[in-house]
Order: sequence, then structure tokens, then C-alpha cells
Amino acid sequence: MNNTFSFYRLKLLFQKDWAENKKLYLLALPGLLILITLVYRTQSNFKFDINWIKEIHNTSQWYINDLEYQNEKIFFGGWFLTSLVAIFIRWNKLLTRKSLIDFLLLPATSTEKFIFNWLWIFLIPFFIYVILFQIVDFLFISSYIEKIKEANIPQLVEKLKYFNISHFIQNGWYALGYLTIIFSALLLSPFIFKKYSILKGILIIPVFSYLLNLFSDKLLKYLYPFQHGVNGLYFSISIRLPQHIENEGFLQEYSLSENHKILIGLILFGTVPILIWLANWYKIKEKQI
Amino acid sequence: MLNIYQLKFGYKAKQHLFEKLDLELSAGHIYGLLGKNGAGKSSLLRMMCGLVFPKEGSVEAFAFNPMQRHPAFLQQVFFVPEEVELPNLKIKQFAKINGAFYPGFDREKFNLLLTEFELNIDSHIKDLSYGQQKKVSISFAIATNAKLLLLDEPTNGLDIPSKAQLRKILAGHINEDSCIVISTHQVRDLDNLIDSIIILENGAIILNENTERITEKLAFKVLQQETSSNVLYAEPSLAGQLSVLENTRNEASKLDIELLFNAAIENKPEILRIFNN
Repeated sequence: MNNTFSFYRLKLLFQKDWAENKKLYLLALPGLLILITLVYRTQSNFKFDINWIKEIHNTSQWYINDLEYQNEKIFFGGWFLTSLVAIFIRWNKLLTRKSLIDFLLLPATSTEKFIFNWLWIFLIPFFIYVILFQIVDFLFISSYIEKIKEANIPQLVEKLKYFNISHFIQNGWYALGYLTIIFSALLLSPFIFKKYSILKGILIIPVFSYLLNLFSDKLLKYLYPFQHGVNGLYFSISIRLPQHIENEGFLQEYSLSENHKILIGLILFGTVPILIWLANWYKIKEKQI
Repeated sequence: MLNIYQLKFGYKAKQHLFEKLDLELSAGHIYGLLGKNGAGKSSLLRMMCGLVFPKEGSVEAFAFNPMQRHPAFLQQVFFVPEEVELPNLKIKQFAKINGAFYPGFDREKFNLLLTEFELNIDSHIKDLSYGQQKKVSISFAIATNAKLLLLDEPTNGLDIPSKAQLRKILAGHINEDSCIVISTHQVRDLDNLIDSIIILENGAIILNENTERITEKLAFKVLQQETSSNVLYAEPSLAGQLSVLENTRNEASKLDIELLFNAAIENKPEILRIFNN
């Protein structure tokens, strides 16, 4: 018998979870679709823009250039909510004493149990969410394009782009990394806290956000000791130039080079989640109840 | 089968539930683990299956350290807690998905046990009463053919006929490779089933003997008056004084577990003296 990891036992964990919770998961799918659609409806003002432009007959390029289609921001917000729901579902399976006893005594290793939880929090909800989001996004954008054609404002079509996950990851990887750290910390909650773990788990979000800011700030200050202010999350550094110091002038903001961003990103979003995951694995292994 | 050596354990740093506790369990026996509330019966059971870890000392079960919760160990031990919580499934689905984790799981045996408990495998767990759910849980535990079966208050929630069925089922399950430990307050429910008794008191085991040796050393009698100097413990009843005596004349008597427990708690030094001789 493999002492550390077995795909067979991992498969059994998934089979058990699916059999016990399939109704909840199947209900969650239309729920998620409705949620994304609602967020789209409330956050995207493109329909309004089309009507507005049509009414005022202002099709000048500067006006159109100011319009920004928000599907990546909507995607990010929806992903945050989806992951939160996934975490709450997982918490629900681990919060009671009885369910935790069942979980710990299932004949599988701590590594398999950790990977099972990890996949259910990070990978599976993400993939499902991406697929559902692409469907909603496709439907909305297709309908907008139709409306633009009807309104006869062809310039607007350029502003509409179907959501592209690789484009989002390329541009928003630091945001994904940031949330990965928060969710990793949330996953720890049932294994760390004996009482009020939901409440304490929720409190983890601001606490970890603050710690993350502090850590990234210290990291940038260490790497770039000349700067005056830093903003680690967006990898920008602010410098008060000598000529400005005399006048107590403004800060000049600079963004890091791509290579530096990758380097700091790896330190921040590569090592911190891995450390938290290791802590999570250890807590599953050492949890007593 | 299971050895506990010099165990030290407590939930608080300075308050220890067990101090230098030694215990050895052998295969082929059904142990009754008795003790007052808070004596540490459930903690000891949880220690045996690796849910809590000793602060000092060691626990070893069939060459495994339960603390490591190795899958090969967990496949051979099954713990049924006092309060069970089963998923919202049909019994047969429950058996299918959970039985896959236990290589020794015997589906036919499970079906047979359910029949003995008058349960239908096609029933939905949510439609069962608490007692019936407990029967499903116990049936499943037995059908895993685990070497070490740990039952915490198994008769709680069971009706009177079910208690008799449980006794019959457990007696039929025990074999020379397996061991059952039952923690209970309801000692009368398990009369004639337990063949070894462990009594926990103030973090120590004051008695760990098989029933044969107990009746060899002690006699359980109804006396009209508490006259004998050998009386270790007596309590009044309608029939007379229910008494536990030192069995100096090698008399045969039927073990009364409740009386034994009370005698061990009330007259600990004498009980220790008799069994350590």
C-alpha cells in the first residue's frame, strides 16, 4: 500500500463527496449562472451606453474611447464569490465534531485529504466558474453586438471583447495570487479554531489582507531601499525625487519592470500560499478531536 | 493487539487525565470500558484510533502508531462515536461509497446485519430514526471486518429488542483476530457479552481482568444481612443486600458488572489487593 499518496484513494474521496453532496453541487450550478448573470446585469452598463450614445448621437471617437467594457472585473468579483461559496461548502463538511471525526478517520493519507480539499476550493470551482462565465459572457456580448448593429454604431464593436481567460491571467495574475493567499488562509480555519471557526475564518480575510500588504511593503522596501513609498500589491513604487523634497513636493510613481514583477510575484504569490498549504496539510495530519 | 505504555494525556497543560497508564488488549476479546463521567473513557477510545495524541508514552496497535493515522491502520480500526451523523443517502449508497475505503468490507455481511436489525437496505437514511441510524452505523462498522472495533455508548438510542440484537450480533462477530472495546454506562445492556472488564478511575486503570478471573476472585451474592467479613461492597435491594465478596471459598456466582463497578469505585484498595495477589 502506498503510504503517502494513492490516486485510487483520492478517487474514492471524490466519489464519496460527490455521492453525499451532488444535489447541492447540481443546485449550485444554476445558482452560479444566475449570480453571474445578475452581476453582469448590474455591473455592466454597456446596454445603457449603447442607448445613451444612440440618443445623444455622440459617436465621436473620444467618447467611445472612454467606454470600458468591464467583463474582466466582473469575472474577478464573481470568482471571489464563487470561491467563498466553495469554502463555505467545504467548511460545512468540517465544522462539526462528528463530520471532522469522519474526515480524519477515513482511510486516506493527510496528503490525499489535503489535495482533495485543495482541488475543491481552488481548481474545480475555478474551472466550473470559467466555463459558466464564458457562457454568460458569450450570450451578453453577442446580444450587445446585435444591439450595436441595430443602433448602427459600428465603432462600439471594437470595445467589446469576449472574455479571454489567458488574457485575464496575464493581466490579473497578481489579483489571482492575492485571492489565492486569502482563500488558502480560509481553508485553514476548521483545522485551527475549535470554536467559532466561521467567524474567525471570516476575520482572517482582513487580517491576512493587512499582513499581506505589510509583507509586500516590507519586501519592496527591502528590495528597493531608495524609494519613499511602495504599493506591493500593484508592484508600483513611489519615489520622492530630490528636487521635490525641498518643496515637500509630490511623489513620483513608477511601475516595476516585468522581470521584477515576476520575481516579486514569485516570492509573494509563489511562496506564501505554498507555506499556508503546508501549514494546512500539517494541521490535517496533526488535528486532534 | 493494542499496547498502551506509560501514557500521559490531558486536554489542559497542567491537568492530566491519564498519568502513566498501561493497558494491553488482546485479540479475541470483547472489552467493557467502564468509568464514571469524565473518567476519560471516550478519550481513551479516541486515543486508540488516533483522534487524540498522548503527551507522553506510547500507543501501538497491530504494529502501527495510531497518531500517524496511516490508511492501512485506519482500514483496520473502526470507531463508532456516541452520536452518529450519517449522510443523506440510501443505505446501499452509503455502504457502497464508504465500503470502498475498507478492503475487508463484506457487503453480504452488511446486508445480513441490516436484516437482523430489521432494516431495509433500500431505505433512505433521512427517513430512519436516530436509533435506526445508529444500527446502520454499527452494522457498517462490523461489516468492515476491522480488527479493532471501538464503540462509544453503542446502546444509547437503541430500543430494548435492538439491544438484545446488538449483543447477539457483536457476540457473533468476535473472532480470534479481532477485538471490540465498548465504552458504556449501560452495563446491564451488555451483560453476558463482555468477557473482559476495564475500570477507569482518576486517570488510572484499577481493574483489567477477564470475567472468568473476576468470578474466581469475587463472589456476587444476595445476602440477608451484611454479616460476612469478606463483603467488599453491598447495596440494598428488595431481595436483600446485593453484595460483592472476596471469593475465598471458590464459590461459583454470576458476575454483576454494575455491582463490580461500584465495588471497585467504593473499595478500590481491597479490589487492587485481591487482583494484584
